[in-house]
Amino acid sequence: MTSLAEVQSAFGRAVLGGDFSALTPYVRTDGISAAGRIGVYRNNVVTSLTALLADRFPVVERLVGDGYFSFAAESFIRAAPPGQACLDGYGSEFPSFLAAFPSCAALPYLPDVARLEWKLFAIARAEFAEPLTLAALAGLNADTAANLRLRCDPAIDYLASDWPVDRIWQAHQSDVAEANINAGACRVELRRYDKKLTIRALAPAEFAFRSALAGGSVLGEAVTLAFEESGDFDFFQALATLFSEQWVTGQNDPATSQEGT
Amino acid sequence: MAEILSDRPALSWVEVHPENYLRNHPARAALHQVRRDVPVSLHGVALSLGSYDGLDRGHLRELRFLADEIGAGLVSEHLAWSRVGGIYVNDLLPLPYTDETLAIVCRNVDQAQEALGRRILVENPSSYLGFNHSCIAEPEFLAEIAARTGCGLLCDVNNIFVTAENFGLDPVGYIDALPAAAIGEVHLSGHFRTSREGQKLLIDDHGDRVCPEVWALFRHALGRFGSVPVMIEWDKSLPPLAVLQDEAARAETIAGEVVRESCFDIAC
Repeated sequence: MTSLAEVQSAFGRAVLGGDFSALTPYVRTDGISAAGRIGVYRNNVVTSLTALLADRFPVVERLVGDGYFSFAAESFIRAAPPGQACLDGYGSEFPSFLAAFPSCAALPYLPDVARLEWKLFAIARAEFAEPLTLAALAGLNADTAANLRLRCDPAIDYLASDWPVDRIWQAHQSDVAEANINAGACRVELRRYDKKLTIRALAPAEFAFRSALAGGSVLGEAVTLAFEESGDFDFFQALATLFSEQWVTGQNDPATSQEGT
Repeated sequence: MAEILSDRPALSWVEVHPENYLRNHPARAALHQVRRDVPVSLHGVALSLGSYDGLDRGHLRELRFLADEIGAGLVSEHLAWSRVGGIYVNDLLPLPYTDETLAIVCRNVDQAQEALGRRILVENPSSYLGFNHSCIAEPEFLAEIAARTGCGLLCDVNNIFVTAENFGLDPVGYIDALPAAAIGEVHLSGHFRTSREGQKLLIDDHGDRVCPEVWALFRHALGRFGSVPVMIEWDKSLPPLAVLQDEAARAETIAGEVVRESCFDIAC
């Protein structure tokens, strides 16, 4: 007797992998063949997921053209189909998939453009958090300040690339300019202000400081990393700027809190 | 959603796909704003009520949280499946209508209603493929789910038309076989006409106005179901809100006429 488990496993292989053989014997073929009928569902699945990826990686699509994008997307969908009912996280692995995709090797900056687009997509949907003012650090004990952790606004992220992906991305927001792909590396801060997404290039020391803090490093580690980039790093100025830019949305002072201990 | 928030049109209620609001915080905030003016109902597309593997408990928890947070008026899902072996297929896939499937769907509906803490409505799907071993007609299958689990049914009149055209069924007979008392909501939408291998095939794309045949079936359906909430669905090539309001006004006119006709029946 046919069980639902067999049918569903065969259907999964048909719509995601394109192998119709196991499903075909179950399908009623009045008027239209089994392949024709299964094809309707396979087409729905592949085109809707491709459209979802194109929506999340529009600059990647423009760089490679929609024909090639569909080919890469279909390969990705086959290799890494969605694992969750909520598709918000789908596509997070697309940048690393592109990095390993042999025919993308001619565009070495493509995976980092994809990383930039994914981070922008993610911060656009991030939760809202109230900023702290510098007064929150009023009771800070100088001995334990190095172990302080600051919580970054969830709508902020960082990206470092060997390629000028910020300029490449910017050039594709309008048709006016072609980006010079030989313009060198970039270190950028990505941020949602209200509904607007912004990309800002940072100096190496400031990037090291902020990205380390955002990644969960304690203040002492972040300062060390910043000084490794530049001996001129102005720690007090950098810390004050975090607060004036409403970057800090929480803190864990080891002297006053048990959190994280 | 932006148009609703800026223009504040007169809407009786708003229905959304909950999956779009589970983890997208700005969208969820906008939904809360809409909720201040009009009731919101949730129309899920990813619960996978027909999965042999059962339901995703984490997804159910997120859904429950959203439904409670916005005080969802109605929560509905489809008689379909999308989850197998830990993979989600982004579509409403068809089920073979057998006793085994019926038992599995009822088990899943029971679990969903318990986890969500409310009765759900189950909607008839649009189908492009049937199974050799199906042995129960779709409206009877739906009636049996409602009888066994106590869930309600969402009658999508366009889906009935699409499925009936694709398989040579009688759409009026389909509507007549549904248990009228279980119908909690009606959906209307447009579809797309194409063909495969020289045979016509209707695809439910929610991308057009409701067609005349579906309006006629809608009139017949309301005659059987009485006064139920009606929703116009439009997901693709979205028109200005005014077009949707025009479709909704037409549905309201028909509903009004059907109610007057049935009053007249009683008076005679």
